[in-house]
Amino acid sequence: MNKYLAEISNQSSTSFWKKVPFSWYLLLFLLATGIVFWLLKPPAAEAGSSVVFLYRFVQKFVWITAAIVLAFSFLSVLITWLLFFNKKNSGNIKAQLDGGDDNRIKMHLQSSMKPVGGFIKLRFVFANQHASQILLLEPIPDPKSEKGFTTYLLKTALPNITEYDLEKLVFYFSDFLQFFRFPLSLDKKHLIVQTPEKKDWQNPQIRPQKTQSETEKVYSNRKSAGDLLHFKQYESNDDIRRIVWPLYAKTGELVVRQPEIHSQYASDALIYASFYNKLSIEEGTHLSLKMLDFYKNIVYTSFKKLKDDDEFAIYLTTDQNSKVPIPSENEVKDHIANCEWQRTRSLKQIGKKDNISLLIVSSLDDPDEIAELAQNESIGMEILFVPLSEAFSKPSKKAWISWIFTHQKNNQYVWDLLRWRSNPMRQQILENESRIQHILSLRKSSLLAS
Amino acid sequence: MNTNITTRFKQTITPWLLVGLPTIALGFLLLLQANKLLTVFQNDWISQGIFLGLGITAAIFFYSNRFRFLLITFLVYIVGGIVFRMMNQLPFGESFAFDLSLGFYIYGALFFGGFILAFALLRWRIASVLWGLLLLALLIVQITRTQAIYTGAELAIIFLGIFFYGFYIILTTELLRNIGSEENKRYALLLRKTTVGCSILLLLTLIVGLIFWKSFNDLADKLAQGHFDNKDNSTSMTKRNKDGSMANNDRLNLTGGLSKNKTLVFVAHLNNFMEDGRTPNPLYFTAFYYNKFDAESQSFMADDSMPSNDLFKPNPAAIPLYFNKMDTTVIRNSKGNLKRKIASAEIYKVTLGAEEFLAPSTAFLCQPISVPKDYQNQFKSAYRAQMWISELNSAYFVYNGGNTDMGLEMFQQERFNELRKAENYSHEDPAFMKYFTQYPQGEAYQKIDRLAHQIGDNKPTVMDKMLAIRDYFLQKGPNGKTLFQYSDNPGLPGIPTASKLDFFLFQNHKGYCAYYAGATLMMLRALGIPSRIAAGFMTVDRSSKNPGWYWYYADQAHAWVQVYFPGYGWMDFDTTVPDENTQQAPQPDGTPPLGNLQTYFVGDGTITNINKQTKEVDIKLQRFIIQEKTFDANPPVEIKTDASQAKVTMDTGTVDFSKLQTGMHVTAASSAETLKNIKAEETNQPNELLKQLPSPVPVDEIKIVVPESEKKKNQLTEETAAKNATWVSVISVLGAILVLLVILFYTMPYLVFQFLKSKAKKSTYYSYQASNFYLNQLGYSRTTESPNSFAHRMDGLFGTNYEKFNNIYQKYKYSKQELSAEEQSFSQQFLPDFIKNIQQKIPFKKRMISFLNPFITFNFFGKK
Repeated sequence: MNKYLAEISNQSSTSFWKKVPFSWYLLLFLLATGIVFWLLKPPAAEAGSSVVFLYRFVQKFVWITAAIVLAFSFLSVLITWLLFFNKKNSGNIKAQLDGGDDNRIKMHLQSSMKPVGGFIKLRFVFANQHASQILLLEPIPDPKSEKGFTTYLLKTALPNITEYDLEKLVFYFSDFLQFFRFPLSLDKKHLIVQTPEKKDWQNPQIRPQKTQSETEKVYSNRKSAGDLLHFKQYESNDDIRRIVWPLYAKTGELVVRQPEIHSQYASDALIYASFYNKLSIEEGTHLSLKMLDFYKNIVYTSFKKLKDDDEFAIYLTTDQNSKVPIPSENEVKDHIANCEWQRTRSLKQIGKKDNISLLIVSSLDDPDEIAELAQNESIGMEILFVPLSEAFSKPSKKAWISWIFTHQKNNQYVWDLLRWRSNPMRQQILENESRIQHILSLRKSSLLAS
Repeated sequence: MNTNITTRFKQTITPWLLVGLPTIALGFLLLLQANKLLTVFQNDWISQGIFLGLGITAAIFFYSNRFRFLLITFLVYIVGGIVFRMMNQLPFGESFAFDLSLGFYIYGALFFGGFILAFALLRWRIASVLWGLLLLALLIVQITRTQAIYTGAELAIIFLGIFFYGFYIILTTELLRNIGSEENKRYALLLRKTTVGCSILLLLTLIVGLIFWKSFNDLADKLAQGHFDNKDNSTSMTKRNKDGSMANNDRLNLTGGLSKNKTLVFVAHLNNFMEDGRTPNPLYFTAFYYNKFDAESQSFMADDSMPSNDLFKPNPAAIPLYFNKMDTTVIRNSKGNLKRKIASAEIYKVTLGAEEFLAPSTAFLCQPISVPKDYQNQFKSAYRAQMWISELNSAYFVYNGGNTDMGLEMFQQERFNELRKAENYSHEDPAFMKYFTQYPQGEAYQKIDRLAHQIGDNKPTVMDKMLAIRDYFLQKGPNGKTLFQYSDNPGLPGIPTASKLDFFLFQNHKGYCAYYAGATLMMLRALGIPSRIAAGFMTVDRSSKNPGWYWYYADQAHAWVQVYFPGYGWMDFDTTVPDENTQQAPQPDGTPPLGNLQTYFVGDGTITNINKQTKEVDIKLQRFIIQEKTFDANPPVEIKTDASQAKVTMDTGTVDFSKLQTGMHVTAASSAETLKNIKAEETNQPNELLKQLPSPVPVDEIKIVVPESEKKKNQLTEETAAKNATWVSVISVLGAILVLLVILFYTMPYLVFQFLKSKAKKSTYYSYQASNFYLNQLGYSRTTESPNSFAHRMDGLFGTNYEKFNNIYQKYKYSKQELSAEEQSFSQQFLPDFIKNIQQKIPFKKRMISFLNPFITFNFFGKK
């Protein structure tokens, strides 16, 4: 967990400015005002003149108007903060977090008064006081929301695809000028999962399964009436809804219609994603996490694309899944998010290779083991290779120009590329990729030839 | 793609509407004012505003598209530089090239300035604060440097406008930073927040406006008083002091109108006559010399640092009655020794300020004198002045331009002939010459320079050059009337930035004394003739009933030129053409304050005792005058005076006897006949002379030396200090409270722990609370564990006896059994050892940091 949390840039919930009830902006305002008036002090020779009167007037004007504005801001924040604090102390504050699409979280929070014209902001605090960025809380309409609760939609923007242990929520009450900011924390244990996203990637191919013809045959057979091909005697555990009553009326026998259940993997596609780290790259480094996120996105993208095709039932498993393969998209997302590079379970240790329709491997896998799988014609799986070096694709000229002249979010790729270029493991990874690509191209050629 | 373009458009247009547009509008207003003030802008505020707007728009575009500030700014600067160089290569005429360069600098600076401003406002929080404060500073400069009159409502609009704009910019820039513009639905939120924020600001502006409404009106009045009497952009040669008295203005402004009034300011007797000894020779009374010209505000200003400073400015109110203050260095500094003599004048103040001193040039002595009894209601105070005057000076110059008096005409000719003999300036101090011939830059002044050379180059002597300039103003126009006329309301040039002297000399030909004096000064200095403007009061001899007595009204406040002639010193020349209204409507002068009795004895000292019944006042003398001879009392000697018939005065006039107080510095004067024959021989023991005096000495006047105005000034200073102290102390107190709160906030965990510890000595419950609190603060909190397992874990970490204590506490809390003596003893001694063990395991720095985190404390009690 810590290696992910180190990536969070806002490790600043412990910083001084997050604790005092006002922003540095306010101090800056007061300091700047003092400096300007010190500079504007009229010379002593003009004492008694209208210039001094004017100067004093301006002084008075600024201080009083500033005091009025600051007092208004301060009071509006203080009152709302106190109300919230009171509610919290009496245990009346409840926050409910629900995961949403696109890494958004819906938060249902006990309704609370906001400072006049001001804001309530939120920061997630994870283990060891690592904190997210401050997020602005603006309510959204939610008909399903309970009475007395307000719903907010938050985009967490956490750095890596993984699960984060949320420990508490810190709320900030801010005035309309954002001079004052009163924090209030609320313990909240929750797992926030930053899930993979669909990316642009090639469409994965799955080898046709023999069960397809069986299915067709069934359909063609079905055209004939009176067939008892797919009926069986009723047994105690059978679903009574499947009893063919017309037949019972006719024959007096209880039979159930056998669903056209394909053999478990016969008309399903199983995707197996390998997170094996043969090259033993150091985990937790920026690059390793970058490659891991890239790989996770591709794995998820492949799954999603196949699922969207809706031809087969798609399941996914990985070398870190000890349960049955996962069919549902949300579970797949969560599972992938929790995967990490591992060094113990290689491709050799995959059981029931025959059942795998698509094997996804990365640059860190063992090329020899891939070669063994690729050359074994009895295994009818497709192999999808994800070259991790593409996580650091060379930016286009436009991206370079953009990096020089602007500071977009995409500019981070340039820095990543520079780091990649200077990484000592880079050569090894590229060599591995080259070998794997060669192996797979040979396989493709031989398949085409056959 | 379309969505991208739409998004980008929204990203740019939103800050432009919220921040850029109001700032551009404000920029137009500022440029309009700047164009009025500064000629360099050449009254082209619309184009200038457009360039400023372009700069702001460009910055917003670049910022919204996340361009890097330094790089883009550098590129803009480089591009500007390249364009400028290219322009320089083009074959334009010198004059056009100069104008083009100037224009490029101005427009380029505006574009670049707008660029930096907009970028700064959007990027850095501090920028919006500084910008608001800069606007206030500009406002102060504009009000003080210009002579524009504002009404209370106008000031309210300006100040409240700045207030609203300043906080509006802070609001919107913060919103743009916080809400951003990545998603479409954020724009609705931005709009909503901006609307709510503006509504709040409007409400606060209204509240501020109501609080300050009266103050704005007071400020408007004060500003008008300080510079003007009328509200139509006019000026006055005099000003009103706080106590209502009058004084010359220390600044000479060229404006559209001169306001005058007929208030009698003072009356003077001048002992200066023509050679026949009978014909009075009036002289102008000088208050200031204006040596400096400020081209920006087009006004003349006094400068105390002028070389060879021959201006004597004592404070008559601070000099004891009949004692004098003298400064003979001014005689040397006047640099005049030819045709010079000493003359004296008595000045009786009516509305002239108590501290004001006026006398013909070059005064070197001031002696306050008594006002005759019968005139004490009319004249507040009086003083005698002595001057080192030039026999060649005279107030008759222009006003007898009709030459009806041959004697005066001859006198003038003799004067001119004498001055023609003056040497050239080759032996003069270069610094002196440089100072008194300094000349402003600019096209308008170049034009005056050319005129001066046109008029004076072919004249042989300085005197002739001066006369040529005089004649220039007296020349007749095509219609046979004098081209130049006097006018109190000459108006201003149509272009606010135009040179007023230029307008006067070449177009309007109308003005009041400041214009004539100013134009004359410019022309003289253009010819390399050291000159200065003198300001004071013009002497008009209107009444022959009382020769040598002159009345001075407020409308006689005047400015004229003084020219330096080597050997002769500074000579007065007045080129202001006659004001027909003044000449044709003589003031009805009154009766001069004659009948001042001879004063035989004057004593200066401190009151030691007052007998209010007999009105006897004991004075410890420091100095005394007998028969106009001054002696120091050595040692100070006490005399008794009989003040039963005396008037008690201050410079503001007669006051009640009860005003006298022990310890006051007073001057007592006696004109009693019984003292007529007391002798004032030179002696080594002056105190012996006092023995001639009767006891008590009958005195006619006791003057309190500390003038009322100083007292008022002290009071005012105290009041001001009190006022300042009031809101300074409020702010200080608020600041101190704020600092205290912050300190309290941070030390709260420590204080809470100390409290719990103190209670723990006698309570198992508090021992438990304190130990739990301590652990929690250091980051070890029991969340899902049972108390026992938590305690066990802590023992493992820190080697404490927490588990044992916990068991005792549980027993204490839940069991009906009392604790045994051993258990009690253990529980009382538990906490110090517990803390000690933990401190050994956790470094001090970590403990300190943990205890500076009040939120952990809040959490601890919040869980409860």
